[in-house]
Amino acid sequence: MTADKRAPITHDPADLPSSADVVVVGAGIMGLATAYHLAERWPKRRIIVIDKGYLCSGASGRNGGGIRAQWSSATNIGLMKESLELCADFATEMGVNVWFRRGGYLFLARDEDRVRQLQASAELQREHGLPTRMIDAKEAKGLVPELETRGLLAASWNPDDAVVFPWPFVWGYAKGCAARGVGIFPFTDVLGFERKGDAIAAIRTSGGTIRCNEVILATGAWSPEVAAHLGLALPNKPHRHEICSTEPLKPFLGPLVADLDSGLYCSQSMRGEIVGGISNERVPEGIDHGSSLRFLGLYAKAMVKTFPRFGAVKVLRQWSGCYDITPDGNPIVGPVESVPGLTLLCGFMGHGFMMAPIMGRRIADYLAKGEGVALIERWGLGRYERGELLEEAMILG
Amino acid sequence: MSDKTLVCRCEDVTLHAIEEAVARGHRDIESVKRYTGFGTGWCQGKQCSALCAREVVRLGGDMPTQPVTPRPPVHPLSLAELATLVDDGDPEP
Amino acid sequence: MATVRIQVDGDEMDVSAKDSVAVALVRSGRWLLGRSVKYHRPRGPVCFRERCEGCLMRVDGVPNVMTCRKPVRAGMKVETQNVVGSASFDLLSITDWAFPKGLDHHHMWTRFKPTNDLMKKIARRVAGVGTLPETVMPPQAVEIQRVDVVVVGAGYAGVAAANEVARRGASVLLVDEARARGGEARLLSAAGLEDEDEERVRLSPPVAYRRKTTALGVYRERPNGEVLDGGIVLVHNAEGLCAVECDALIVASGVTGGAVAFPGNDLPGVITATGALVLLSRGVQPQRVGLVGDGPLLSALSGRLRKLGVRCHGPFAGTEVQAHGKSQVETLRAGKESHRVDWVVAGAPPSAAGELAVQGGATMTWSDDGFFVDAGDDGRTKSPFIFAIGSCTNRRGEPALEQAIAAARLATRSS
Repeated sequence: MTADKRAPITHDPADLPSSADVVVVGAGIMGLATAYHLAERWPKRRIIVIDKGYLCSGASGRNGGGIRAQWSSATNIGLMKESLELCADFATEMGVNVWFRRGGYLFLARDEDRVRQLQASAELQREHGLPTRMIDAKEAKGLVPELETRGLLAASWNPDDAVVFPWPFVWGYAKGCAARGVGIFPFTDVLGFERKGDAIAAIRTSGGTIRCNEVILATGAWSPEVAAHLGLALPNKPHRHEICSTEPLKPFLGPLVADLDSGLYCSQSMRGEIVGGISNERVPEGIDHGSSLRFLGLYAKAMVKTFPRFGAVKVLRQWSGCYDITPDGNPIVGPVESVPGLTLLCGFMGHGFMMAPIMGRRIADYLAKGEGVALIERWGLGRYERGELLEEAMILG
Repeated sequence: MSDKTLVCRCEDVTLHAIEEAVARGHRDIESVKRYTGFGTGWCQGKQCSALCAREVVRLGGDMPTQPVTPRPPVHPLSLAELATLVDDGDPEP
Repeated sequence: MATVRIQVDGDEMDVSAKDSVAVALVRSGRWLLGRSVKYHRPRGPVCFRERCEGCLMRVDGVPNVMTCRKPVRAGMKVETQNVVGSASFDLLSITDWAFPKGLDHHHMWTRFKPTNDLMKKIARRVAGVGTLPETVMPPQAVEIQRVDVVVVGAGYAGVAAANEVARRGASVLLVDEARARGGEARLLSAAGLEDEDEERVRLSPPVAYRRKTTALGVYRERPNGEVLDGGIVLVHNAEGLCAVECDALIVASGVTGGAVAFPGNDLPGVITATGALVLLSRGVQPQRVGLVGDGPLLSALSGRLRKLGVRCHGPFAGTEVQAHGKSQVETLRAGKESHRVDWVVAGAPPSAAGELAVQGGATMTWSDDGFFVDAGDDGRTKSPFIFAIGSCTNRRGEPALEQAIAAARLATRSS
């Protein structure tokens, strides 16, 4: 713990320095976790993090707090298994409560195709040491008595998956950054870049120009917009996803319940609110943080069908965040040939939050020590040109 | 009962909590809202939005330009009442 | 006067058939309706217009019902929520005593994992207000409507706008959450509006008007995803939900009070000026009142109370006072003096009830310690779909009727 427990975790944007060794663009959990770990490996380098908004204004402040290791690809399973443990230890490591609770995740299957998919994923997860197993409708009902089990064939169940309250992760990493000498500058927008040949020489921001050679883009759904300043056309696109929260009720729902076919998911937060969302394809293009009637209607219909007793439960507020969608549902991470000095850390779909604790470490290890090249190459931007698209069957929301 | 001054009754946020938030660097009302939880409870800021903005300014925080973003619905609304808004097989416009 | 029998925490109670649950309880002398989420401090109704959490109780097996506007019904079952023990003796209020300066839940017990885990278990146990409803509520039908213009708020400005829209041959739906039109003016008047003022709230046909109806949300897309030039206003009343598609929305929702900061300001019996006016209009009268803060509503209220022979103390500034009491406010301390009171009425600087306008794309400005919808003298806002008029705008004080007429003209241009 630092001597002054109440030291501000962010700087005045007016105090933006004119140069830095590393600039991380994006002060969401991904950028902050990266800066935090980089600062440990590069204690002598001047690292700063900039963000166009206030802390928690992006997806890090808008998600439902789900943290799971149930994925269909070995890479995701392995990474998330580690990230779950990091999240479990976060409160005592970083000195801020995040309300990590292992209530488990329950993925519902209503047709044979889904059963097969979940079974295959569960098997792969078990190979990685996870306790995931398929359960029948009766056992699912035992876990969630309010669940309507008519039409439910089976479910995939991992009791070690978890939910958290997301915002304190951002404050915790910010506090850790501050303690390690990383400056965080909110309300600082990227206006453009200065190049020396192809390499980055400086970033022009709303608060001034920062001379730097190393830039990490952890800007989530805003990545294509920021990358365009570098003449880089990224293949990911922002996609609005809505979410809503009910009145706070005494805790009764243990797991996070999810249905990959409709994209429905919900869990009960530490305050007792049921927080959840559902897929909705009919959304405006681009970055949009509006709320729609369609979402409310789709969500309410699915919720009342899945949990009949929730009919009288009241919605308190709806909001949205933008997923960072890539053509193959896998992230875009690593260096870019055409822009020396740039490292991409984006394309995490709707699961960037849960991946940030482990990815912050991995990217820092890669940049500082050249470790973990395999992951960087797997998720590199170049795979699209080479036609080497990856897969992930368990994208939610 | 102790002499607390409540700035947000829904989430039991005290004036002291606002002071703490500003001291820790949360200076704009959106950040203070997230750190303290004011405006995120039952009334969604109807009772506390203006008061908390006043207190943040008084404590040296940033002058607000907009209130904390109001989210629909203005009053709590049951899931059952929303469940027939969308027709199954709704054609794409 | 007709009475009905209801059940409150297991005890039977005869109440006036015309009262809402909260008003009935307050009339019977009970202000303590529940306990707060974190410190389990005593709580009671404050605003009496469904804009706060003070009156939440479990009613007929449904949690978190705002009882200030819930009409009583024979056989109704009303229960206190969120207590271990009873409303007046809640064991969990130990949290309030144990942490006089407040509990920093962000940083408590983060030193060691076992204690952190234990703390989380306890926190989860005591979280939430109300338990899952007992009965299953099946999907309810939604009414779909289409009008040219929706006007929210039936005060003088809203009525003028609605009448002008009708006069210009467009269809209009006027909604207001109160029982009667007149908004702030009606609240302020002692025995109802004067005849000439009743004129100002008379509706020219064919204005469609729904009272006790709340506007819940503004959307710019249909439920099928189709983007609209206009929008959809969700309105709600005892009959259910209605989605009203319209070309323009005129927001005339007025101002709201909000809280005033002073120690003990959350005690049951500390109410807003509008709350006090609602109680008086229901014939609930105190003997002694402490007044805190200022504002036109508080001044008007103070005048009325004095006329009724109520003993008033103050008005005092929020910085001068402290409220004290066990389960409800008993004394208001100002400096060295301590006044015994039945109510404390706290008047905050006015701030717009502008949520709807902002949802639809309007912006607000911060002035005189409050937020107001940024509107032109013709009611135009940043959103071409939304007009804002009257005291909810940053032009309050300017002639609202002219603004209302101008807005109505602009709103009907496209119809």
